[in-house]
Amino acid sequence: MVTIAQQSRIEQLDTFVIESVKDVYATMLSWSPESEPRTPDAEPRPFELKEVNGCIGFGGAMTGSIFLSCSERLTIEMARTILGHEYPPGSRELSDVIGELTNMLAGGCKSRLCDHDCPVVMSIPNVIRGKLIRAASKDVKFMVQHNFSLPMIGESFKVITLGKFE
Amino acid sequence: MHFVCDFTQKAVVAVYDTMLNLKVEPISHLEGADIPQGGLIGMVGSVSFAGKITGALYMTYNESLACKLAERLIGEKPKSWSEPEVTDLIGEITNMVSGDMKRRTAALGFNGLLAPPLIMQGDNIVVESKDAPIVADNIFRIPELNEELRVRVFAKLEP
Repeated sequence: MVTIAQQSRIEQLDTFVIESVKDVYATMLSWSPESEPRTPDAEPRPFELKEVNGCIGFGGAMTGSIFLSCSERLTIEMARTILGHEYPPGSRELSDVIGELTNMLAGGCKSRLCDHDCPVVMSIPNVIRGKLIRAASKDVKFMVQHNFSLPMIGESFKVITLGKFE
Repeated sequence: MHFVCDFTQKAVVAVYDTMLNLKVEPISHLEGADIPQGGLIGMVGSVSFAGKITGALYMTYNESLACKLAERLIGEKPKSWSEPEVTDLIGEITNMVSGDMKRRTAALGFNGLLAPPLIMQGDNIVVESKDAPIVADNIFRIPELNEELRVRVFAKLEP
């Protein structure tokens, strides 16, 4: 059960996530992802990850994690756009690209949180790849999943933020 | 062995002893480019940390080990390893091991804040870290249960 104060923090964080996603995709890819309505409530529950995922942990006034979750096809497309189309990207390049995008996304959220009286520190990015990955977290008070569509390439990705405010 | 890796091993041994009254023995330790490239099989408990030490710790359990640990702690054999009591236990062990490691690194001036634990299951999960100069893969034997446990750590120390 989240309080009204926590709910407003969650809404604020959700806004920061959308802003950061749009900033990062515009800067790195010149793409404009369209934000779809987020999950209606913020109750923590198990969630599914796509094939290529970046994850960063937060500590401080908000502890938790943020995931950038993409299909392999989309990650290849992002790697080609960022690194150039000359060579097919290998798994190392895919990991580098998803790690860097996740780092920028989390960094955007971190700076916005810090600017709004919520100081946090973030871990280095981890990349998690696999199939049919189901994940859950312990000791978190909220979980927000946001889907973003990329109509120009017929793909979508999701950003999952979960944690608790101290 | 890097002190972060040494502290990881000590933390696993200490937490299994305290929490589960189980002796675990490190049987394999690889660092840097020597760590195996393949995926992690089974259920993975993970905790990220950030601060003067930043990174993540991953502990991998097969179904048999996860269920044996849950039975040992709860006193009842779980129906499957997807039961919440099993995933909660895997998260709690990972949290305690990360907390013990953090306490040891903090004593050397490298404090970190812990994120809540994550528990993942899937096919052949590959975990990698960007920008982690300290990478280690440890395998432990748990003689009493005739099982093995894999623990991987990625870390970076901030000056």
